Amino acid sequence: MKRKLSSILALLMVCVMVGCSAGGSGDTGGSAVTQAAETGSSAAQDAGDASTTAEPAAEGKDTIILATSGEPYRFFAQGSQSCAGDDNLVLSNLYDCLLFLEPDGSLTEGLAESYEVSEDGLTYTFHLRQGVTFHNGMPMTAEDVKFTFDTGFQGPIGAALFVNFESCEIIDEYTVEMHLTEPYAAFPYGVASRLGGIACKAYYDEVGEEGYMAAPIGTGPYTFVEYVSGDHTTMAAYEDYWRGAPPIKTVIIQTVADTNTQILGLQNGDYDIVRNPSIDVCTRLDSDENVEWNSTNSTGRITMSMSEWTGPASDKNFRKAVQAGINKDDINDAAFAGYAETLDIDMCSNYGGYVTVDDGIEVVEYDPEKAKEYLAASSYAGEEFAIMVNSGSTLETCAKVIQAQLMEIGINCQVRAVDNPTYQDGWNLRNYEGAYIVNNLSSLVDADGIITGHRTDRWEEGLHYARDPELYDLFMKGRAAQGDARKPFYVEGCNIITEEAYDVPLLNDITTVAYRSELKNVLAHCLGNYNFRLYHY
Amino acid sequence: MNWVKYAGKRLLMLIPVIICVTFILFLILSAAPGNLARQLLGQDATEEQIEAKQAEMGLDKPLLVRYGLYMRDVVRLDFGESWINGESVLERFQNRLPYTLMLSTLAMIFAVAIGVPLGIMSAIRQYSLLDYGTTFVAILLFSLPAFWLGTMCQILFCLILRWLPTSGITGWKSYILPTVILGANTLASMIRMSRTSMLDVIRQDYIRTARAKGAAMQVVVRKHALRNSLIPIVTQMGITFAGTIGGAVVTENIFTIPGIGTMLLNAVKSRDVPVVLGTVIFVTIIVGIINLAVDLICALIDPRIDLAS
Repeated sequence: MKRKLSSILALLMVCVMVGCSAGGSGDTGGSAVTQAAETGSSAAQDAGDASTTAEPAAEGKDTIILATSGEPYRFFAQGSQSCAGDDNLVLSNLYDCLLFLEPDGSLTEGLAESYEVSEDGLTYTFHLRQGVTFHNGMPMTAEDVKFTFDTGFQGPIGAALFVNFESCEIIDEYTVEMHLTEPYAAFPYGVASRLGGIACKAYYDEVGEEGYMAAPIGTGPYTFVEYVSGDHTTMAAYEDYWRGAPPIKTVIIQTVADTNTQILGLQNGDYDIVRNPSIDVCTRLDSDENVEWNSTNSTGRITMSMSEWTGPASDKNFRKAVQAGINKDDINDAAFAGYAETLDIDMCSNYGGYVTVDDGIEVVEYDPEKAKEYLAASSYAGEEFAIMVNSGSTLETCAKVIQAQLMEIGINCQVRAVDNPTYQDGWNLRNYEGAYIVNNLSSLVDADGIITGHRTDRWEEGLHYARDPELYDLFMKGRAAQGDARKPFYVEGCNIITEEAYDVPLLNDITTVAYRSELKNVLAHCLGNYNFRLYHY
Repeated sequence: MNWVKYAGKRLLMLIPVIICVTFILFLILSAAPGNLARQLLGQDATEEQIEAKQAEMGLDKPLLVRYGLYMRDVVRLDFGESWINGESVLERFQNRLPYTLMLSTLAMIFAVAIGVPLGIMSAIRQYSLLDYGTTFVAILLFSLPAFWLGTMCQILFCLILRWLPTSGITGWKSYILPTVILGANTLASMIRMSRTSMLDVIRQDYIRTARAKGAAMQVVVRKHALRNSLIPIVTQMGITFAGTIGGAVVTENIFTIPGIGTMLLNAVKSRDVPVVLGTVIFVTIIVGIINLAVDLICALIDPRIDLAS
């Protein structure tokens, strides 16, 4: 019996040792990407080890780790898979665009030294910068620009980001002309979007889409090193970068699902940056001198949209009661600790073509007495007015504040917090009665974003409940005009929305970044991008 | 050869279990609201694009047909690819399993190495200060949820004392906190189980006889009581080891360990059906094998257990 017991114990020991060795290497698979993981794990390990037992020696440190809940995994925007905001963490550092989108939403010259727009707004001519090379050493030319736009337009997000794009014509090695089917004022924002990151045609011809996705190259400040699914992505500084080699030599984008862990890791020095922590977490960090944070307006509008086609909201007076009965400052205090901007119209102030009171925008002030008058004049008889939000989000906080405010003026308001897929489906199909609070994000930082909820061109698909064909016409004219000529259309459209009380624009969403205080030049970006090339310890 | 036959039978029993588990999961995942294709493609996708995506994902076929096709592929060891990033489910599982096995094994060793001796000692010295102390600790560990205990330990050991890393796998130190947190609950059950089991045994007549013959308590415990009290403890070890693999979901999430727990959680969140189904099948097999191993070990410890019957 003793023997048997000894055998069992010995077997147990062997199992543990096998487990230890397997767990340590973390690689039992055979894929190229996973095999590359070992070097990266050790890079992460070096960085992690340096920061566990004592304060990290920040001076001269050239590796940073960014903690994020969302994982980037699509590294070729022009491919057949749609890429999103998380991917932009990597894309915006691997690739450069012809124009750059700055943290405040403004545009500056990128791979194009300059550009002109034809008088009819149908042709954009870009003069390319010379002497720019891809990570494989090949020069960037007009061929690559044409390839990027032609391929990108055919992809799943082409129609949304390269709106009205028709063709790209090569004039000479360093000049291209982009032709549009119809004028589109926000086109430069599409050029500066994730889809506009210039890819290398010759390399694509050599490796194909799959090869490009697995080992992407661009002209950006960082080169791709490896991606380990569910764990991290590593980038290394591109020493021949045309704006100079970045001081931070290695960037590790670490997937950390738990937000508490992200912040504790930042405070402990395990991570250098935490992506977009919530504002209440940020304000708690004020007491920690080792950590700093900042925020900026994102391109998201938090808006409450009402179902004017059914339920109590089909009565205009009821909608106007809701509109006048909402105190946006209280919502701001509850959901964003007062850091967000309140919105008068369904546009962010950083949008191109943004219109203000000076341009003729009408504003509805918070007035509970007026709200009660509107309610009395309506046919409302105490029916339930439900506000749909996705559970656990900031929008739910907004909805609860609104619920209290509307109940005060006599509306039987309820908050329906549902899971994300149900929430998305209900909104996309406009399958609801009452109100929906949505965060309308716009990749194109332009007033044209407002058109999304008013498209009559897609009625048949049942995707969008179109309210007023007049609104769609106005916004179509707004996107076709250039400069200040756009403003009258947007003013008129926004005033119709306010007068009819279709939507109640609430707040401009914000984007935040928290980082080790020794790390310099970290700025929150309106689209959540990170200019790692500017950072240094 | 009895045990070989027995093991073979038990492994075959896993087949209907897997069919039941996957079918129930398939039903639940299909009944969940929301159009997955539309979510993946975004609001700007056209109806044609959505239909094409649904066809690509196989969602255009009836439920039973989809289930049948899936199980046919599983038999061929093709667990499909993730709907989110196209990665092979089997490959991803293989890459992540070592982390979870390592963590679960360490947690079990931690719980058994501390829990069993403590439980036995508190049984031998029933109603002593040690007994009350261990009972109190056991109840405390049972009651504290892992996510709370984990965060508190992170604050104390990482932020204040700066002894350990908060998360990730960056060396042996990274396993200390996750092991303790994952093992805490198991430790509590080990203390309780070994205490109860030992109390049961030392009240038996043969122990009283041995003591009456003048044998020292230590000798009686070591020679007569220990082996007899081990059966329920080993059974409990098997059950809790299977439990720690499931419990790793929370611990891995708190400490950012790239194991199957985080993989499953992320897949459920994004409704990545092939990854959820694949992972559940693998975990079912692992749990089945662990339970089988426990039965075999019990038979080795106690010859009275006849596997053939």
